[in-house]
Amino acid sequence: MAGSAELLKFCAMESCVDPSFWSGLASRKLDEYQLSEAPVEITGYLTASRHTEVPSQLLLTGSSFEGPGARSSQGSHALPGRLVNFNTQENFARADAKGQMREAAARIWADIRSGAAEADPSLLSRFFVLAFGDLKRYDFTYWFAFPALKPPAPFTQLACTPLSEWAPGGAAERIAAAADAWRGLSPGAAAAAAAGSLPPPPFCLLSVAAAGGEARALPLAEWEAGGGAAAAGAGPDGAAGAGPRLLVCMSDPSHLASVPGWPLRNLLLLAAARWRARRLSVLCVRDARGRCDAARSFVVDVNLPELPDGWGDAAGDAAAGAPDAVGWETNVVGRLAPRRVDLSNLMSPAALAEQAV
Amino acid sequence: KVAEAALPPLSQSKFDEKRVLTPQEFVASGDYLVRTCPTWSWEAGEPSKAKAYLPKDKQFLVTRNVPCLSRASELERYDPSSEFALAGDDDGWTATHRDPAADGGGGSGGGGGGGEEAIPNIEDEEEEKEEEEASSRGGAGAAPAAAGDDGDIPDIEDLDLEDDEAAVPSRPAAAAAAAAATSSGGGGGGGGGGASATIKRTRTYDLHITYDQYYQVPRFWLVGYDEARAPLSPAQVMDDVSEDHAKKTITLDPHPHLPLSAASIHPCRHAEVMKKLADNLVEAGREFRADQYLVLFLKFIASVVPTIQYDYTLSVGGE
Repeated sequence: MAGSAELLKFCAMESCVDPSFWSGLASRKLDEYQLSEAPVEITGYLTASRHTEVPSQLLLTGSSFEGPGARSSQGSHALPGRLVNFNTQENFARADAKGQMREAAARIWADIRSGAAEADPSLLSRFFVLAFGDLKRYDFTYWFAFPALKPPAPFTQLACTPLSEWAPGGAAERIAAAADAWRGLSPGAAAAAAAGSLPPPPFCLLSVAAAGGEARALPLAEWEAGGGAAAAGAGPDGAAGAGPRLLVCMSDPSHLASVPGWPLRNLLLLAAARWRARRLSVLCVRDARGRCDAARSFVVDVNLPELPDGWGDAAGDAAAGAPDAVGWETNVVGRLAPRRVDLSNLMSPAALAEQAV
Repeated sequence: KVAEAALPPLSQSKFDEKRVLTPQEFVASGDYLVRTCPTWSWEAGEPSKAKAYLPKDKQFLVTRNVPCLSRASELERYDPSSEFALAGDDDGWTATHRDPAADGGGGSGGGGGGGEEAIPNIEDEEEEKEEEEASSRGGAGAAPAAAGDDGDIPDIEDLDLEDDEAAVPSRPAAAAAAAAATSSGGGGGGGGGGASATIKRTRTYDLHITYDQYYQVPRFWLVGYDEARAPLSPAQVMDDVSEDHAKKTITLDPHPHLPLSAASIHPCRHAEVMKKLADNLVEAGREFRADQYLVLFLKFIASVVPTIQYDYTLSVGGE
């Protein structure tokens, strides 16, 4: 397989906005934000894909306004986001969408370069949403963006192997158990993850012993210490080393076979920019019945492009010295356009009164 | 609601004789469910609607984004026993579900009839007729959803089509719809209607379990979405409920913890059914503890919503 590298593709991200988010927005708009259109920091929640039929979606709920520790749901990761809520439909339509994207991309790029994203990998998956709510009609228009920075040359994939084959025998189970422990899903961890504690980061490293597949999770920041440099420097047949193998591990929201989810894009760029890695093995964790499933999860070996010195600075205007970014969510019919939800039959007092009889 | 205000929540366990739960037992049972099956998690809901007799951050249970590939009414020759064989369970309690076929001839009609009535008997001969009805109802229900995406969404400054060869649409449906939209002239919002025909109707559900103080049992809620994540109307939700229940036991009520109304399975017979299931377990020599209540409850619910693929395969009875 080595050598025949093909373009690595990523499953687009989907949003899912709970009605409780819109009702929270409506009350905050009236009591707190009023006419302000200043961005509001919010939190989105993402889990690994749990079903083969549908991807996991970035979830916003009423607790999205209350900071990353507000909702402690097992196996879910808190991602930082921004809500820009407009006062009028006209303002929404005139929104500087490209500018917002550039700004978000610049923040992500800065966090990658400064090392902030290594310390807190959720920063790689920043998202933002432009919104306008007609509060009288319980009608909301919104547009999500999940910025993914584009590398100078595409990422390519060398191989893609189900975890159960990549680590035969009991090793796959041990790796899966380590991935679950990291996400707070091991039986003992449930009690420890009390309310208020921060959810686990969406990425980590897994150090897998060459013999037996004994695995343990490390934070991303321990790439050097964990022996990542040696692994990444190895040639295409780099698996030969006797030391432990270092995998990047991701809670993968994608449900498509052998297609990793969107969040991996910025992580790969981090690996290329910060670790100068040219090759990376990524474990995409997917679940069955709420735990890592060795049959669905897979390891993808990725070739990373070399980033020329100063790449990303020279991108042109100084205001947004960052690589180009993509990642607008498509609407219902697959166009790049806003989505809309009408909650009048769920939220209007009149409708509620009628149903309550 | 008035009764709820006047009646204090159950404080003494009646689990053994009546198979109902105190709030404390509900929480213990929820903790057990969350621990053994991490797809479920506790939620707090609207703070203003929080019940004082439940912990603040453990008001109700949720599992989200559960796929539902086909309508219950489309299930041909639905065979409950195959469903449970899949669950890898042995015979113990499933007997209840197989037996009703025997009383299915007459029993399922009576309004206030026997206790079996709350257990669906889907192998009814009437099924075919109902199926037709349901599919026409489903068709009508789908129309507004397709029309929902129409021209008056403001277009933000035209983004140049993103040049991104590395992106894959998350669902084939989206690709098909996009293709349809382009071929139909790519005007404002014209694509919606034409595309709907090609979309496979993979719905998703958020499933909630709340505690019903009046009946002292868990209550099961269904919040459905179509493939475009637009909320389903109550009539559409009925497509995913077995016919017997769609007519009798599903009601639309205000959600006790959220600012919305949703379909739920009315809890008035839950204790009865749970007692039957539990008795069967005990008869088969298995233990049934209060903290396993919800696990057993979910198995019962699976017969009401046969096509919603949540995980009800945990075993009960000290294995």
